[in-house]
Amino acid sequence: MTNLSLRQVSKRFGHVEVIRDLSLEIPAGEFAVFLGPSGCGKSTLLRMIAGLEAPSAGEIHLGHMRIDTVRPGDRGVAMVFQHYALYPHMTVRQNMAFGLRNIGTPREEITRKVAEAAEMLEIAPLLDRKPGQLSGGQRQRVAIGRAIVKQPQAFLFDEPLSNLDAALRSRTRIELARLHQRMQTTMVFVTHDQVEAMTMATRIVVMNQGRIEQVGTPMEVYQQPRTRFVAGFVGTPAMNFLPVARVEERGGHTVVRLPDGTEIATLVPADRLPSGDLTLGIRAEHIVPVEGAEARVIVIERLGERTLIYADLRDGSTVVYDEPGDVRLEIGQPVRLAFDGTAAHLFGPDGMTLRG
Amino acid sequence: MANPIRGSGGAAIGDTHAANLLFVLPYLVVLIVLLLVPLGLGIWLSFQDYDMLGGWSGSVGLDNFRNLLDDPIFPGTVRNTVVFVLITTPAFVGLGLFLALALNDSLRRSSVLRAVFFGSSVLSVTIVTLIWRLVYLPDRGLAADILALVGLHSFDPVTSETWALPAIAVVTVWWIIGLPMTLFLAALQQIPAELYEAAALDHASRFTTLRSITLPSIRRTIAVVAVIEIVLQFQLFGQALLITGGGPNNHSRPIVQFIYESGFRDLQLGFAAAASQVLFALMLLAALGQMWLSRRGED
Repeated sequence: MTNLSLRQVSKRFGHVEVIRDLSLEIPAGEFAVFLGPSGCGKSTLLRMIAGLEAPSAGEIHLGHMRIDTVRPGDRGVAMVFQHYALYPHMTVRQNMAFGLRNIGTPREEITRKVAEAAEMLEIAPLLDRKPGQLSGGQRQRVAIGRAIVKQPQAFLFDEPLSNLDAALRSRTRIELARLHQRMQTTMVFVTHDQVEAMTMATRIVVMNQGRIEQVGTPMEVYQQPRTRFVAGFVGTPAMNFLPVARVEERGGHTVVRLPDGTEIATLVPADRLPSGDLTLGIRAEHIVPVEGAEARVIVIERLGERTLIYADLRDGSTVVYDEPGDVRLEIGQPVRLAFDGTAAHLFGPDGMTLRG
Repeated sequence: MANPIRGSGGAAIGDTHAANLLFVLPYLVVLIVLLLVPLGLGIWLSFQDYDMLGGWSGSVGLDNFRNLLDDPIFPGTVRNTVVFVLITTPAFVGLGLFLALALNDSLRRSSVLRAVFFGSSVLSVTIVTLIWRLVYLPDRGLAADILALVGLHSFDPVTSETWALPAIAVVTVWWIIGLPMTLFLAALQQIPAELYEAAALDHASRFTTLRSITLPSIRRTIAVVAVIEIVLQFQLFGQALLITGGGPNNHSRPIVQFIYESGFRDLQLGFAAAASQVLFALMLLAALGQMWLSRRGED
């Protein structure tokens, strides 16, 4: 059980700074997910932990050891790559044994460890095949097996599910979560898919443009996003954002008005509000089709258990809200929408969430 | 025929159409006129008594081949050629791979050196041999200077029975090392970087990485380079003719020079054709042997 600690880490490629002065503590045994859009620096950060990129500044510690100065093989980490990176000319058994052979592990011990890992991942019948004879899902398991046999202090996953089809991806998610429960080893998982982050993470590290936007449990990140970016990136469908004007204070809380005139009472304290434009953020499930603002249905997305309705308000802005799976609605139909102000967020002009 | 798929133009996939022949005709004509006919003609000639001055005087069966065996010079040319192939092919594979490994990066220095090493390939054999005649000049050439530096006596490899053939091999490797190097570079660049990263995390040393990742990944290219070089080097001619003229005492005379001299100096076309068939058989055997070896290594 080892904690991972990043201290003021920066990374520059030429004049481009992709990671800026980043510090992060990942407690021992945690399943941390780096979540962010392409190019936010999350993979670079993982590669610096692995030793495949050198930080331009800062330190990385794993347990009591500073690891950013030692070679990748000596860091006590194992990595599962996006494209698996299995050695194509070696059998599954040789792929899994390669790392152990290189550090002079006795033959019997290698055999035992490979057999155990193969058993755990149900790939024992594949041990004598080559990667080219395996399906994507099987290759994925071998790549995980290759990491497990090394008994690392931390596992690093670089978008390992992105090459799998949807069904296999959700199955592998569950298996990884179970693997983590069983092994209790620190795991760092990089993804741009917020569903993967929400379902597997102990804590999510949301990243944007080389900086950490928020660190929190999945529900913290979902319910209390620290910035507008986090609010928009986490959750499906994305949160609705509407420009609002401040109208009054009621019981110490802010009341705002949408462009179509609808007033919404929020729980955001009225004092200390910044000057400048405000944005209201509200999730689909917090808009209810009862008495309220006039709107007109423009798109109906049926997902089975629920239906997403996209509707235009009178001023032309579009919002999305939830209906039951079997709702009867037609495109063009007028609806009236009520906004649950108690669950709404307000964002200042700098994109930060306003709270009391 | 069961409903072939029809395209918009009406022609069908899988349907034989006389007009389709037109598309392959240019290639077929070149293949037949320039390759198959001469090959057949050569095989036929090797069983004939055909003199360029006297013309055709009938079939002689295997006489030409028997005469080759009894010839005072021909068996020596076979030996010289095989030795030359045995020296140069491993050199092309080994040195070509070494250069490719050393220059496989994006540094400016490496791209300049890649161009330098490939540069000599564009020179004609006359230029190359001219340069190396100067290098091999006794007492004054570059080779003599280098030998003097390490305290050895200068000697003329061109006139040495032992060193004439190796001297030609050195010229040849210097001349066309660019092609194997380029083929190896192309193969190295096909290896995914992720494999090397995985190997680094797997604690592989540089030597282990070379042996366990790089070499197995380019095994096919190694086989291709070996076969290409075997076929090319069996056809040694220009360098030997221009540097040593086949001497001293026939110790560097290759098969192709023997064929050339029999056919175009002594005008015995049938005899020369028979020698050509021996060369053809040797090249075929060597190439097949190499392919068999590399395939066996894969299993």
